[in-house]
Amino acid sequence: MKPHAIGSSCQRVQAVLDEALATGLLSLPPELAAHAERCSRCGPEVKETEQLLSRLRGAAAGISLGPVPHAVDAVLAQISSQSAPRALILNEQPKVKRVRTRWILGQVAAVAAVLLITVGGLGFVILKLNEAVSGVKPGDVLAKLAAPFRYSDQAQVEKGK
Amino acid sequence: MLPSDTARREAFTALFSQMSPRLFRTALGLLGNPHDAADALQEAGLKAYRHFDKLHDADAGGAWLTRIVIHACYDQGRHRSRTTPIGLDVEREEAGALPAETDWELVQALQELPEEQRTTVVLRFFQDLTIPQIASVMAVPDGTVKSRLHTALCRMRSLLAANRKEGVR
Repeated sequence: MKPHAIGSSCQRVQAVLDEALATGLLSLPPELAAHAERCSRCGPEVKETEQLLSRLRGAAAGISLGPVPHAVDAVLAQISSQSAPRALILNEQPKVKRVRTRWILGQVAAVAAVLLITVGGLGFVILKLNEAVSGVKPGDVLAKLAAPFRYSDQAQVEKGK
Repeated sequence: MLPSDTARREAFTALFSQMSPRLFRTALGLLGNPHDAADALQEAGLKAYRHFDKLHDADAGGAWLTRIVIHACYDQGRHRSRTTPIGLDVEREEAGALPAETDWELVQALQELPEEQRTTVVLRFFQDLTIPQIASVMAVPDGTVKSRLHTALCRMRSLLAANRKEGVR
């Protein structure tokens, strides 16, 4: 018999084995099972796959659950000594929380400082450029920009009239 | 204590107690030895209780706990000593403490797989989840689960066949 000839039983067995390995379920039709028994290539593969799946299915049942009650009791004892989940958070991880908060605040402060320096520097450069082009002094530009704030109380009075 | 705290704790106790055998099997499959598995289960239990408020769908409790156990196992696996023996080595060292019926050769072969493939195999066979259920727990498409399972089982088949050949020699 030529193993794995195109369209052969070997190829069909391989397809079934591939599906079995992808799903964990092996269901070989009788004609292919008969072929696997005779075929020197398919036979061992089918046998090894059957054994593997059978061992995997049996493995879970064979695991001793001896340590489970102790682990469950330990968890339940620890949570019953606390009044609420929030208490566990506060009692178990205060350092991590505090360090994380401090780290976040530090990052925010650093970003704010960088932004402030960038905006200040850019503003200074723009005012200087403006002075060079139009001859208007930076102080005058700033005074114009600040005018609405300086005379804001007058604007309210006029609105009231 | 508020009545809601009591109710919350009772609900958590019921869910955790019911799920713990399956969660322990999962942890054992992922970590390869019962001591680490028990530690991971304990760690996961406390973490789950801390975040129990976030579980809004009671039916999803099993999958939610499984996900927490998987991550606890990943953490445990990364932090544990590289020299800690797993699987067969543990059996040799502490033969009296471990049950004879556990298939340690298989558990050892599982440890040879990458994390995601091992998790897929463990969820399929140790928790008996379907492909869509595994996909939901691992947040991946069904096709990815199938592909991981295929690769993992091919590798395990080769590993176990090689072990058998070595045993014959």
